Amino acid sequence: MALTVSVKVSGNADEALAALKKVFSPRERANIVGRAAQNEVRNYLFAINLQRPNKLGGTRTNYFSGAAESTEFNADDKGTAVVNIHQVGMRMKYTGGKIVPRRAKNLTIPARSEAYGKTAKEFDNLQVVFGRGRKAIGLAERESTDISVGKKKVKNKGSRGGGMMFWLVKEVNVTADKTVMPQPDDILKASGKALKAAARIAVKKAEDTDGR
Amino acid sequence: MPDSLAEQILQGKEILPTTGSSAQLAQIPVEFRERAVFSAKTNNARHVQQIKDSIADVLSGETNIASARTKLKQSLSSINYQPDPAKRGGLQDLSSDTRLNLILKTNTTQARGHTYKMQGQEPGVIDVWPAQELFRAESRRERRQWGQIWNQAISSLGSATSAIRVSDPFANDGMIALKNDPIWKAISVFGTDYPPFDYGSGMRLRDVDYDTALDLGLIKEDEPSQERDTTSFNDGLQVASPVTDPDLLATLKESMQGIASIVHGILKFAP
Repeated sequence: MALTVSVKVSGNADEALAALKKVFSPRERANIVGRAAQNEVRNYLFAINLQRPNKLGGTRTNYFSGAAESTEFNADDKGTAVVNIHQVGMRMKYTGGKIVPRRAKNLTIPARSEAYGKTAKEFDNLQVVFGRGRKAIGLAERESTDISVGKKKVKNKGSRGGGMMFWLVKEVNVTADKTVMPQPDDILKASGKALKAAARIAVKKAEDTDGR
Repeated sequence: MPDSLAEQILQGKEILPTTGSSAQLAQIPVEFRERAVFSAKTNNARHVQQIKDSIADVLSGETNIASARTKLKQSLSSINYQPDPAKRGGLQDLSSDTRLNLILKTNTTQARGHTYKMQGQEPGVIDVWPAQELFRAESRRERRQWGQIWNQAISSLGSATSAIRVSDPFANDGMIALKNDPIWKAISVFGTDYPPFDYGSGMRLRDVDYDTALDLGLIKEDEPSQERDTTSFNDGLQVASPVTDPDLLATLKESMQGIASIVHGILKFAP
């Protein structure tokens, strides 16, 4: 997922702006903007990682912490900075959309906490559970799971050591969740603040250079 | 070239199949370990390559840890790996979730931690954010006493560090020092100045800005900026090898062909 951040320095800070341009090249200014945006995204994702445990209560995968760590920026000589998050699923969470299986017939959705953060292939004791019309509806532990299939519901009638581990579905429609990223305004503010700090440092550096 | 800088860092590393134990591998200089992908007592080159490929898939955002772990289990199955029944499920079982999660998480965090460090050294960035803070990014049931580790490192380093002491032995944040302070390597069991600083650690780094560093007395207004650390994996490097174990030395010599050589106790990396 790529996010482009551009910041214009405006206002009456002529001296600061002049010093900023004198001391920092366009690439360096883009570095500063890019880093500020990276930090804003990163800190936001680390924060929501601590706030959002997984719904099924299984062992945490720290998904958002991984997303935070995967955040990088790229800057170029034209002064453009781009922030990228190299974490599988982040774009889908942010934009929403349909997920369909690529190499299998079905997607596997964890049905209980033990399945969370695992793939079905990691279990060697699963069997396909069929519903009406011999339609595959889930993967259950092989030994002793009683399931009743109604017209609208599949009921787990109690298990004797096993249980449904994954539901099988043909597709998943993901609702866009804009809260998995900071607001664009916050990213811009962070970048602007960093440039202002850079301008102050630049003035100081320019004075030092001129004074020598 | 991969889009992800972290993946680029990984691709710069060579695979190192080895029969060495983790204790033996810990004797290898960090400069070498940073340039290699390896796993203790894993000497099948094809499987070590699969480890590297799986880490690359995670770093590029192509896959998640669970799918990468599944691939590694399949790789082990293809070479008919069977764990010692007495060690099944533990860290010494190459196919256990515990072991595979540790490999994948440690290596991805290292590559990403290294990337964040390198980008933090970019011109302009080091001026605006001259310092960094160790903080808890992931909760753990059992927490290490990072505050204590931090303060002990300050005591050991003496005047070589300007790091700020903390009062809480279990501190979750507030451990701040300049980016190029020796404390970062001092607190790491891996000897690296970027996270993770220990196995399974939930501690990470975040930037600290110029004004805060000034307030904390880490920098002074009339002092020049901190010098950038521009060390690259591509640099040729020579270090004295502390490896004394003859078995490990033999294994290393064989597996390091093309990466480095050991001549008269000096480990020399190919540029």
